[in-house]
Order: sequence, then structure tokens, then C-alpha cells
Amino acid sequence: MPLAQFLLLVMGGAAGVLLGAFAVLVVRRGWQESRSAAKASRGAVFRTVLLPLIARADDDAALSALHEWRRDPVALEVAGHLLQLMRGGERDKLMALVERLELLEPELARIRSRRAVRRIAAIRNLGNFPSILVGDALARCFGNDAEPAVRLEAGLALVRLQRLPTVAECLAALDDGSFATPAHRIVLRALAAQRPREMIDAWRACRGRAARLAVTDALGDVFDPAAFQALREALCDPDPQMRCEALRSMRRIGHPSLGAAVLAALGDKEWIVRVQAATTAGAMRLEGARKSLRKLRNDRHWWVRYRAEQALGMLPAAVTPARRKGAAA
Amino acid sequence: MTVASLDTVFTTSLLLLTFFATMAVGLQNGVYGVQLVASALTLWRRPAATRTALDLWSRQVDYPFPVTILAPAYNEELSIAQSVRSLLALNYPDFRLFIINDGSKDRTLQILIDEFACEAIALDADVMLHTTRTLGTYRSATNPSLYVIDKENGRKADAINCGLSYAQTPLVCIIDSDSLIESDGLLRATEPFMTDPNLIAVGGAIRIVNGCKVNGGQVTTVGIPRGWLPRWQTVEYMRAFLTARVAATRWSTLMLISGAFGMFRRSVLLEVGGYRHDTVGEDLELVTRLHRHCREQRRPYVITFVPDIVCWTEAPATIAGLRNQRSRWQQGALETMIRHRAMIGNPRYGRIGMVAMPMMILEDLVCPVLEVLGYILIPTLWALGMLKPDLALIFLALSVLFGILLSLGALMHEELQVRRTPSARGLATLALSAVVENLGYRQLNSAFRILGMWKHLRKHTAWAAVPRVGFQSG
Repeated sequence: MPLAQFLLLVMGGAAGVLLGAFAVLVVRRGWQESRSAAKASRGAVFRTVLLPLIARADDDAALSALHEWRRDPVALEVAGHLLQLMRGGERDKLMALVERLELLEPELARIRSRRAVRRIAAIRNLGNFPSILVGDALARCFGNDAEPAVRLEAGLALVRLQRLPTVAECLAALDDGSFATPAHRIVLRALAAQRPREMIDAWRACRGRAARLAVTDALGDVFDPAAFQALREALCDPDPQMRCEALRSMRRIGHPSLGAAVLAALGDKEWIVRVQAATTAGAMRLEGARKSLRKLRNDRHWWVRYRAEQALGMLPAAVTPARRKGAAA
Repeated sequence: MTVASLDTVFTTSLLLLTFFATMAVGLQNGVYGVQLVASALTLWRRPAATRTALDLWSRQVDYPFPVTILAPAYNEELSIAQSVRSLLALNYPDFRLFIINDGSKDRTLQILIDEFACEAIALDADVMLHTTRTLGTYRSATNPSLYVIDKENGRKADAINCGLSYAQTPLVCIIDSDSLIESDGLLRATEPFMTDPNLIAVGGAIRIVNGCKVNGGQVTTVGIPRGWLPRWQTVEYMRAFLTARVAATRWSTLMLISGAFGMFRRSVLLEVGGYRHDTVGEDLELVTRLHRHCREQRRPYVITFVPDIVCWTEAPATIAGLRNQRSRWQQGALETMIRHRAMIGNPRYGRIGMVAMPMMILEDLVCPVLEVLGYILIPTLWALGMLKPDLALIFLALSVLFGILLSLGALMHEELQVRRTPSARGLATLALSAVVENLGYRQLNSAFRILGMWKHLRKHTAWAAVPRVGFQSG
């Protein structure tokens, strides 16, 4: 067969096959459209039936009234939406109903899917349901899943559910060698607020550089003298990144007892540390830093000069003899 | 040399040109075919997009990245108040909106001051990326996240650079004031930054608003354009965004983040000096420069595209408007290729220098010329009996049938992954458009590209307007 005819045949055939497949998609869409109105009204019906029964979540009669919605994906969608809008006791009651109707079962099964993307989708969906059942499933996933991305997603969902495990378990689950993403930091900061003592101990026990940097960042959410001491020690670390991290955490804490350490860091030999120290001194309104900051205005690095100038602008106005005289008058 | 030998040389040259034209079209479509397969794999393997804005909000509300939206405005007194209101209504927990009045000659600034109770404030700038003078900075008393920067006229790039100088957040979102961002656009655009510390820029999909109903600066009903020209552009945009860009993201060779919507890490934009003022394709040039900068610094970086971020824009509804738009794009591509010619084929720039830039040359320079030559030469030579019908058939198969195949593939991505087409009927209409666009529209576009090359050679830099019809309110 000549090449031209062969090519025409192949292209035409492929275009025909694709056209056929597309026709199937169009028909499928048409069928879904005809069902979408029914689905929407089914959702509305469930909402109408559900709302008055939320208050009677423990009542078996309420459960039997909703029996036909057991494991129904439309019901799960409606309940998930309502849960995000509700607060307090009403929310707990709705959650109890969701569990009793076993609406979460399909999603809990999907969390064990062989495809990582399906597990991530299930975790994102389950993160809207604050139940013990979901928390346990997510914690198992967080601790055991083979994919770091899935574990991270489970960690973020557990932050929302406030069901994070111990610091050591979290550090093991999040360990992908870098701890570098903002998502890692979100999990650890949330954990620091929940388990401050454990976080301080973890900082002392931590050996890996990446994990130690991440924990130092998390200490910025711990308002405890022991954490302040850990940050002061971090400022003596030979790694300039660690010193920067400690200064950023000190800035978030903003406690005056950290002032002396920040002042000392203004004279650090690394310019990136001086940048952080100047920014922190400004943010903490450290009056004692004025002289050092003025000196840093002549630093040979542009960013140090710029941040020092900014920090000076943030300090309370200096009391000059002229001003003192004016105030007295 | 005799007349007969001259005739032989001429005929051979024409036949050679015809052969090269066929090869070029074949090569280009081959690349598109590979892109289609790669994008299908990528889309299939990605986690399903979060469905509702409420779900996205719940996931991000406690730890949002602060974002500054930079929206340049020039002589927009009729629409500025509505545009600002729709931007202020975006779903995002922590954002500032900077409207940069680029020396408007009408009442744009006054309307902003009056409508939003703006008061003069002092704003600090980290750097001075803009070349024109700032005349004043304001903040709204009623909407504290709204800032207005009034400056002398310096065109869009200068206005964005001015906003970049004043923005203080780690992320900046650059938008066109005449485009409409879906209300969850910021939530979707910041999400990838959460899990990738090397990410420096994210682009979104641009879709055609013609035929849609717009209310309060938001698309309320998605529709299919009535005219054939916007319909063909709808299919063309789907092909570009759902196959080419998705595949380029997979291979880390994404060269363009559309100027209508892009989220950038501000620090990297400052390092490269912001947008260039002296080009008509500033968005393509910026992304190329970002690649160049990061490659030269040998730092890990990621530039990505998220098809679920949707920004709606009006497509030209007339041939003249399309001609102006496409020839301008072509000029921009040529300027970028010439400015960054040192990257082409240079292993120092990795796959950008070795794959993406040569692909740009093939796609934007070689193929349009050879394709148009093919469309002229092949029927002529065949009619004169100088060419066997076989080659004409091969050219037809490669240019038309393969084109239909690619467009249908893109439509399948749209239906299976993104699903913004409103109905089965709309899908069928687009499928018909996908077939018909290969019988004239694509060829016309190649001709407009050649016009762009001509304008570039003539150093014709005047801004040719693209006439707009305006949004259809619902």
C-alpha cells in the first residue's frame, strides 16, 4: 500500500475512533444532565429530612427515618457541606448521625486505594468530618502510608481535626529528607501549640539538620521559657540557617526576654543572619538596638542596610534633649 | 545555463520546498501528538481538584499565604468600580489588592477615591523597578485591603513593576483588569505553593468569555460563543492549555504564563528586575527570563500550570481583531527568541535550552512559514501536474486529519478532567468546531503569524487595538 494511502487510512481511522469515543462522552454527559436535576432534588430532600433530625441524633427513630440514605454519596456531600457551616453541639450531633448512617464507609475504603491520587482525594474529603473514626483512619495513613505526599496530606487533615499524634511520631511520618515545604511547617507549628513540652524535648533530641530547622521554626509557636532557652541556644549554632530560623521564631514570640540574644545577633558575621536580626529587632521594638542598627546602615550588604533602616523606622521615637524640652514645656 | 536547466532547478526547488513543508507539518503534529499523550497521563495521575470553594477555604483558612493582587488600570472610568468590587469579593483569607492607575487621562483615579473612600497614606517600596514617577499612594477607609497607587503613564509592564515595588507579601498575583478570575482562583493558585518550596510561578487556564453571562464581575452562566470565530478560539485555547501547557509542566519546559493571570513568588521577580518595558510579549519574556536566571544560578525551581484555575477573557470576534492579536503574539515570541538567543541549543540551560527553545523556533518561526508555503504550493503544483497526488494526500492527512485528532483529544481532556463546558449540546457544538477549524481557521492563523514576522522585521511596534464587544450581563 502506498505511504499516502496508508497515512490517510491511519489518520482517518484514528480520527474516526476518537470521534466515536467523543460521541460516547457526549451521550454520557447528556445522560448525567438528565440525572443531575434528580440528584440535586435528592440532595435537597435529604437536607430537608436531615435538618429536623439532627437534634435527635441519638434517637433510633431518627436513624430509621434516614435508613434509605445509608452509604449514599449524595447524602455524604450534603452532610459534608453542612458540617463546614455548623459549630458546637449541633455539629457533633450531625457527625454522630453521619457515622451511624455509615456515610463515610466508601471514603474510608478509598483511603486504602492502590492509587496515591485516590488516597489523597479521599483524605481531602475526610478532613471535613471531625470524627474519631476518621481521625483514627487518617492517623493510620499518616503513620504508615508509603507515599510521603499522602502522609503529608493526612498530616494536614489531622491538623484540621486536631488529632495529631506525638511529636516523635509526626517527625517520623513527615520525614522526607527535607521537611522543606510550608505544609511540613504547618503541621509542626500546630503540633507545637498542642504539645509544647514534647516539641522542646524533640528539639534537644533532633539530630538531622532539616528536622532540627523545622522544629526550631515550630518553637516560634511555643510561649514557654524552656523554648526561649532552646532558641537562644539555636542562635549559637554554627549553621547560619539555624540562626536565621531561631531569629524568625523569636520574632513570632516577641518576648522582651529574648531581646539580648537578638541584639547580639546584630553583630553576626553572616549577612543573612544580620538581615533577620535587624528585622526581628524592629518587629520587637528593641530600643537598645538603635545604636547597632544605625551602625548596620553602613553595612556592605544592601539587604542589611535596607532592613536596618526599616527597623529604625519601627522603633519608638528617640527622646532627644530638644524633644524632652518640648515635652516639659 | 539553458532555459531547460533553469526550469529543472526551479521545479526541483519547488518540489524540495513542498517536501520540507510536509516534513515540518508532520514534525509539528508529531510533537503535538506526544504532548496529547503526555497531558492525558498527567491529568489522569493528578489528585482530583477540590470541588467547592468552601472545601478549599476550609483547607487553607488557618494558614494562608499573604498575596498581593496587582491590577494595572488605564482609562477605565466606566468599569473600574465594578472590577475592583469583583476583585475584593475573591475568596481568599489574606490578600491585598493594589490598583495601579497608570497615568489615566480620564476619571479612573477620582472614581476609585470617591467610591472606596481612599485616603492618602505613605507606602514603603523595597526597590524601584518602575521607571516613571509615583504621584500618590492611597488606602481605602472602607476596604482596608484596597490600595491605589497613582503613577505617571508607562504602559502595563511599568505599572506592574510599580506594584511589585510596593507589594510586601511573599506572593503576588498579576492580572489583566479586563479579565475575570473565578472567585476561588486565588485559593487554587496558592495551593501548590503549600507543598513545593521550589515553586516560583503558577499559571492558570484562560477561557473564552464570549457567550457566557456575566454578573457583578463573575461568570454566572457558562455558554458557547455564538460566532464561529470565538468558537474556534475556544477549541484552540483548550488545545493550548489542556494539552501543550499540561505536557510542558510535566517536562518542566513551561515557557508561558499568560499575562491575564499568574501567581509569582515576589522575591524571584525582584531578582530578575520585574517585567521588561520594551517588548510586546512581556509575559513570555518574563517566564523565559525566570528560567534563564534560575538555570544560571543553578538553583532548583519549578514553574507550573494548574488547569483548574480559570480566568475568563474576551476573544476577538472579528478577523481584524484576531489578526492584530495574533501578529502581536508572534512579534512578542520573536523578540523573546532573539533576546534570549544565547539559550537556544545551549546545554547550560538544560531542557529549556535544548528542548523548549528549539521547539519555540520550530513552532513560531519555521512551521508557520513552511505550512503556508505548503498550502500554496501543493495544490498549485498538483493542478499543474508537477506533483504526484500522493504528496498532496500526505500533506492533507498531516495537516487536516491530524489537526482534527488533536482538537478532539483536547476536548476529551476538557470533558473528563475540567468539565466547564455547560452541556452535552455545547460539547457537540465544540466537536463540530474542532473539525471545521482545521479547514481555514488554522491556516489563517499561520498567515497572521507571518504577518507578525513581517511587522517584526519592519520594527512596527505601534499597538494595534483588539476590538471588544463587552461582557454579556445575565
